[in-house]
Amino acid sequence: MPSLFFAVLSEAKPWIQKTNAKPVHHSGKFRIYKKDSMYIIISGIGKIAMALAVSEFAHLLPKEERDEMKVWNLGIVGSNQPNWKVGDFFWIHKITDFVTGKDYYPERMTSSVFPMETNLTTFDRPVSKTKTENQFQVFNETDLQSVSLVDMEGSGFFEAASLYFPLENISIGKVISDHLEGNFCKPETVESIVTNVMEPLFFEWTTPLPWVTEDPFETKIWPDIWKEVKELRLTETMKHDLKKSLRFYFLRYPNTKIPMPNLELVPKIKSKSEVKTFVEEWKKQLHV
Amino acid sequence: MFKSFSHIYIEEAVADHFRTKEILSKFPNAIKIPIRHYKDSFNRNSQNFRIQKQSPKLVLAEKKEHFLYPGSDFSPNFSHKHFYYNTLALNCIYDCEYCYLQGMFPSANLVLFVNWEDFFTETKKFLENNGSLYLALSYDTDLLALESFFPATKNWIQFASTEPNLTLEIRTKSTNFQSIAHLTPNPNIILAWTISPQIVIDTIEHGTPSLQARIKTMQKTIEVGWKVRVCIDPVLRIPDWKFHYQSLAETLGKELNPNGITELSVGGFRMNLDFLKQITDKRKDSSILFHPFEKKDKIVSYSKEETEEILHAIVPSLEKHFDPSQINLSYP
Repeated sequence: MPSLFFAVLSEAKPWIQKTNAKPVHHSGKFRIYKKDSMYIIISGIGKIAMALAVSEFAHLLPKEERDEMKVWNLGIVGSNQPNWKVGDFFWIHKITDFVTGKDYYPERMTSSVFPMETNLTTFDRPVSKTKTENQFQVFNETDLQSVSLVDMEGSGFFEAASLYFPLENISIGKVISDHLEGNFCKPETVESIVTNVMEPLFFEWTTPLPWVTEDPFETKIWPDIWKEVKELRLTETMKHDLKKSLRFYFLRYPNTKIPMPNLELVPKIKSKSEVKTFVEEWKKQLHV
Repeated sequence: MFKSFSHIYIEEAVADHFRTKEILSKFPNAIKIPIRHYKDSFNRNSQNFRIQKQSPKLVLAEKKEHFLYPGSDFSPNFSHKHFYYNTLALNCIYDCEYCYLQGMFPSANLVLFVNWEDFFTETKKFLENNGSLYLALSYDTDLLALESFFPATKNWIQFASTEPNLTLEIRTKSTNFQSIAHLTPNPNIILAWTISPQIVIDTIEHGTPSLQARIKTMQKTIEVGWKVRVCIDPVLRIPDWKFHYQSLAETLGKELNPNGITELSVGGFRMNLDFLKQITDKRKDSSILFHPFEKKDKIVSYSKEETEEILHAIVPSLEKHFDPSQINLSYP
């Protein structure tokens, strides 16, 4: 269940074509494409737009789905490192928001066929080392000495994504499109750059997260048992404690069926004290 | 997933510290990430301790305050007046299901404080002001297990040799005694091993050395003259626990020279209630954590009856081989 955020259509287009994703009709502002359980979202340029897109998308999903979702931001970046080439791909392990000075740390958990990593600095405006006719923010070498890669969305993406999705599920990857010459990249050039790294990334994107595994107690056993006993109208505390006791037995004796009380008695139980006695006797059978 | 310590976060203030460089030299292929303060990474909300444990990162940092903490009520003070602990490192390379660190820290990444000289200075000040100190070194970590790249145990033993009123306890599950074998035994140092039945090691103390390896290490330590404490703590009520712990007592009696044992410390599982709640919210795979513990004063533990049963089962078994005066209860 992966999702993928891009700033602009030219970045997303190769992926939309590859996945054969179709537009999702919804009342929101941002373009969402879907194929099966794969989502591609286009936010528009800038960290605020990206943050809003993440938020809007997150609100379309129940928490259970969000907790299992792989959430990536991919896109093009400018590079301040002359020895790195256009088309080089980097995973990001640190993001600095230039305006706020705040640092974010996407934690790298899984290895990749793309081994290079670096830090990313997110600016509010396009950045250039030279003054051009474009309205870029101009910096000299000294100003950029701690800067590696430059974009306009990374900090917004990570800050928003970390509010809605598990931190370990969030990754940011960037591919170099320029070296801060102060020129906009043509859409066809962007598509080409993205396409060149897409195949291995697609495989990694669609590979399930290794830590997302089914908890059979949570998904099958407990719901089935609850169906049988919910008529007892347990308090939240009693329900919680019973569930813990059931899980204890399930973990300790994984090859043994969980002992059940005489369920025929359930409809006959009327008072709170009878409910309490019934549950306590059951728990004694579980903690052996 | 990445191997352990594939990435190292380095506080900018200690980037050029000699100990930082020494540690980094042990991980030449690690990716280095500068940070301003270790808490910027370590203290983030919503980290998943369980997943991080599969691929822990290293954090090299500077301790700026709180170089000594009063000892916990959960741990024995062995009748020392001034019982304190310090935190040279946060977290551990082992993965014991009962470990309170899972509930205490928001992250499983390993934080190493490199400015030991500041710890030494503050410890000296305490000794000057108070006359004596019983200091537990390896509280929120297992220092001996880290010795190959973070030689704190050796350095603190050397420091203690200059401070006759300082008593150190170094608690460990590690068998890395070789790292300190060249040091002269110091009567002010107590090396304390956690010892558990092999089945506990196999099923609950993930990644830790075997029982035989720990016993062998303890015996070597005793032979060369160190003070050794055996900690059968925490005792866990696993299936057939009586058999396993009584067998453990027999094994210890056969394989350890009782004359070399300073103490045998016995205690049942116990934890801060809030920590346990944190742990069970994240960790759903450990039956020992879902026991119906007794709760009192924000502490969870086995019930009085269960605790008495534990003591009645284990202490007599130990008394067959060790002098009763050597056996202490680590927690009532």
